Amino acid sequence: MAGDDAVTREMVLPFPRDDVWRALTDPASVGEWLGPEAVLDATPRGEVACRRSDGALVRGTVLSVTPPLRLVLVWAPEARSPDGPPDPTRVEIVLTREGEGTLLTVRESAAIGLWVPGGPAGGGRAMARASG
Amino acid sequence: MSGPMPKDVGGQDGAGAVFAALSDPTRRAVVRMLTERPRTASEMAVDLPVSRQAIAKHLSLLAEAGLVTSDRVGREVLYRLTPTPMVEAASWMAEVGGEWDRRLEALRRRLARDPDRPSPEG
Repeated sequence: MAGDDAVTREMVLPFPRDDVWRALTDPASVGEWLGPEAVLDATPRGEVACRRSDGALVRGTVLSVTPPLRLVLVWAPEARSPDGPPDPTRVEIVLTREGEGTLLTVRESAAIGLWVPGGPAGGGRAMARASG
Repeated sequence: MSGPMPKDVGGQDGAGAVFAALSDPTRRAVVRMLTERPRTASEMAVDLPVSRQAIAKHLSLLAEAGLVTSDRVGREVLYRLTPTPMVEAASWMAEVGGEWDRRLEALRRRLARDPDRPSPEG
């Protein structure tokens, strides 16, 4: 099922979409939701980095940005273990108006076509080839 | 309209027991430790902030879901991860889902206390 690996989360936020987008991407706010060491340069090819709760540093690149609707990035843990997760992964965050609030949908999936299970394909190559 | 808490909208029916077993952060930590090598419950209790008894309970739940198996080695019971791609994939999905639950909750709190906006509490 490696090719179907995907995690989706949805959350309705009682705030306008512009505010949600600002909280997601404003440099002063990124650390508050993505973690204290996080970087998210919400521009095409912008840098992304964060520390996962298991201590792994995850680094990547923004693939596409459409304020205040959609942000797509690809990232991978810096240290890869042979038995570890299928990485790199692609993250797509979509904001949809819902009443006076905003529906945030995030989907993180194996970078399909770029990740070979157990194969030697590295994060760098996938990052260069993945498209938004 | 959904509540403010993140909810899992992914998952697959056949894998229900696996995902339920991995819905708990302690059990995910146990699975993560077992991806490195087989361990005993006492050994894992040293690294996790819960009792050996609690870990034993988590392990039996993981075993029921087919995620771990156990072998008696002398007086110890050694637990190992069931070596299937399904388990690895499910464990990965639980990890990633847990990370997003945490991030989205932090984002919600960030928005709720934005000084430019009256807080929802009044």
